[in-house]
Amino acid sequence: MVSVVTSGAVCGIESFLVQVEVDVSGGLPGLELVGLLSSEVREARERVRVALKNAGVFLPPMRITVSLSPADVRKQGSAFDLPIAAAILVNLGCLNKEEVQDAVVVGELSLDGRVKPVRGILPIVLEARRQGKTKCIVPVENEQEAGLIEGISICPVGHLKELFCCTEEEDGIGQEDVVRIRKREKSDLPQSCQKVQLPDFEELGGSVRVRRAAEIAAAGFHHMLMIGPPGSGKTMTAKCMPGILPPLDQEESLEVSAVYSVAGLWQGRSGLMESRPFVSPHHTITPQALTGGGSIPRPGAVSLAHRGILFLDELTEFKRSTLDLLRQPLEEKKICIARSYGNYTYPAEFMLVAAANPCPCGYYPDLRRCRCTENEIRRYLGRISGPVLDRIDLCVETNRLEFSELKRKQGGGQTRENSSSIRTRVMLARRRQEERFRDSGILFNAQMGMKELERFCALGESDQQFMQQAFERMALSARAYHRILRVSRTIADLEGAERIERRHLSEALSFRTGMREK
Amino acid sequence: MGERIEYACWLHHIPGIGNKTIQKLVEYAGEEKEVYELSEKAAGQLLTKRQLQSFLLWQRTREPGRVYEQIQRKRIRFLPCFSEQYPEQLRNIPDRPYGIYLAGKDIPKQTGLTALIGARRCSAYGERMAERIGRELAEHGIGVISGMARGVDGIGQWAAIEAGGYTVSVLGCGVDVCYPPENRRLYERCLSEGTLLSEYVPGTQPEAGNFPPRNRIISGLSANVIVVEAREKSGTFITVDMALEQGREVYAVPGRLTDTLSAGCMRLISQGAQIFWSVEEMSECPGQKLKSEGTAGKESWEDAEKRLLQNGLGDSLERELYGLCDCYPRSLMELYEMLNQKEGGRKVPMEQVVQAIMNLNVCGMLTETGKNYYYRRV
Repeated sequence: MVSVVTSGAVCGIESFLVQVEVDVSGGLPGLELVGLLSSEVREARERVRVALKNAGVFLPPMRITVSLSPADVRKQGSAFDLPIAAAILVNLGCLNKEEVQDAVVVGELSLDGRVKPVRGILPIVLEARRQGKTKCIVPVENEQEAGLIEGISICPVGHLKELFCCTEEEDGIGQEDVVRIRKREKSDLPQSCQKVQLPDFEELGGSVRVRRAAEIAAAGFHHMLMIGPPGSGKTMTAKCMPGILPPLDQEESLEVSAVYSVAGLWQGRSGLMESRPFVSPHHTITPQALTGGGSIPRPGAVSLAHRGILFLDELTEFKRSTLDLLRQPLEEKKICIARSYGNYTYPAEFMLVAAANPCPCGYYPDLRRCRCTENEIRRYLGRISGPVLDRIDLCVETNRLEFSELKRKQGGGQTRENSSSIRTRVMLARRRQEERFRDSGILFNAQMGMKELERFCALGESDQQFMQQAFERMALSARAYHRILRVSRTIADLEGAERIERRHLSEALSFRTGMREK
Repeated sequence: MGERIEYACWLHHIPGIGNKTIQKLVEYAGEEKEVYELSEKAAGQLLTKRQLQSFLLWQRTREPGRVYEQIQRKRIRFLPCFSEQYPEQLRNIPDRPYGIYLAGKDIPKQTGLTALIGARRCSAYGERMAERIGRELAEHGIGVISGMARGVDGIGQWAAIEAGGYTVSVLGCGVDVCYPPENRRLYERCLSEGTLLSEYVPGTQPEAGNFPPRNRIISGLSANVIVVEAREKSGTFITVDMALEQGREVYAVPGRLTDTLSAGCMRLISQGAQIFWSVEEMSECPGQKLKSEGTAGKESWEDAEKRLLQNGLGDSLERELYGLCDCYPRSLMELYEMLNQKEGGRKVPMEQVVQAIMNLNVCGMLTETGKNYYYRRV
């Protein structure tokens, strides 16, 4: 007799369901696993055998064959222990077939029969719901994560015994010991994660220009570069930025949560991701850590920053080869990792916020303090790869803080705007963009292509002339010109203006990325 | 005579044997040809061991005719000090070069030359001044001589060539080597419209030690020396010292007391250098005057302001911002702060300032050096 239990596995950020089939028949006694398994799945044999024994089930001296299908997809991870055990239990008659018929079972087993948490629960449960399953049997530690998905019941198990003891009443286990597979009510779960205390723009010193640039970048999801001397508040500004981005909506939140689930970074959270991720890798980051990878691919920094901010501090210190890896994700909003046994695609739609010093000493163009030679400066900025720079819409210079600024920080003087009021404006601008790009697959101004630029960024006669003059005088490239149009669209949106006007263009021009056009 | 040049060229080419040693050898032997024929023993009395080795090697392996032919094939001319074409002004300076190499045009005898030198890393003000003076000199028919270095040197020479003038680049490497590489375009223009000059054998690489001595040639060839910008400790002073030793007039372009880059010029002035005021007022410029000075680009600030008003561009904010700009670059932030500190109480929002500045920039009233650093066009 063949028994079947459904389980799930993760590939990239997507997941697929796996049928675990078990047959017990005569022959040389043993437990055999087939189905293109990686070594950690093959090791399930020992774990399952011992865990079953310790849970009080002795395997009969028969040949047990376990097959995981589809057989041509490589299966990885430790989540197959529990479904294999469950399928064997069903086959041996220790577990009701009905219990697991419409369920997806995942979990790792320890030798004493306890069920341990696994990575990537969220996408598996999502896939289960999509395929019409009604129940998910998951490790108890993964309960909260799995419980985030509506419309499917979650049964947490902490021990292998909990799976089958309910059906074993006659066999000596007392009624009072019986723990039914619990179905948790949704209301038990805490709905939102704790608010992380983000730094607020109110506390931030620095010039109006930087604040303004941050606001524009947040409103149009533009990539941003800050250049300035050390201690001019570049890092602080970046850290404040998640606070002015609009919160994630339901769908985005699921996407981001799925990435974190696959990356195994869910522990300790209770609820979907609500605030946008802020990922700030150190400049010594390896290419694999940035893009994702490893022999068993996992999402890298670009994917962990999905729908949030990827902050690269000291941009010039990053290795050129590492930075160049950003080109694909910046262009295609996703990253593909190819391995011999398959391709993995992770989402990577992030907002790049970068900070750099203008020269090795950091003080250029203040010639009183900067002692770097022309060559040093050129070489320093030359380290940033052109193609990456080409995709950055906004560039802002930060200034050294003056004493008056510091004093203002400690109270006294006028107060600055706080993050939430900036966020209100950002949200309004976002709403305008949503309206404009409805049904076009575009979310933000930063994503506008040529067609949209023509449609939504039409200029008046005199403004066109102004831009032509600017184009010639500032020696802009075609790409730079389009970037300026996109940014001015966002500036106009922030203001609520229907058309792009001279003042919007002027401001966008002042934020253009021209490191040094000499 | 033709032969003598060949021998002189051969002698000049020997590595390790410099100006003074050549002088000694020639004095001892009588003429270049005899130097070539010197015996090992005789040469050994005058040369160090290493020099002697290199001398003997050259005696054995290089033929004077071939050496001379090689440089001629590169279209480089060699002028030893006994040549008639050897510049007269150089003949009388202390430690005159035994021979010089020229590429490009000959140095015209009747054109006066003025040295235009200064800091390699100059400020925007220095750039402007170098450009302006270079142009004015060209317009007055005076050649500009300098070292083709980064900064003031190169900018001044470029401006002179652009204005149709003549310029001499005195290099610290062979005349067939372009250093610094950024000045490639200037190098090419010098080759076609000006002169490249060096006392180093063609092919010599730019070594640090080569540069100070070439400064004596710069000052030696010029009638006046104009210093545009220099820090207190600057290589420019080597040229100035040489110029004073050679009896040339030194002019300094004044700057502000607070600018480190002008400190050297201020020091020069306090020590008695003349203030550079205009080309006409420089004493004894032997060049013939071209027509009256050109008007292009020589608009005074007052005129520029008038034009701005006439064009109807300037609203009051633009005019005010233009007034705040200087010939030293100011950042957008600085201008914004200056504007808002001016009369207390008033607060002009950043957006307006940006718009006004961009307007001024786009219509050409301001020039942008680094990003968002502006100065008035002079």
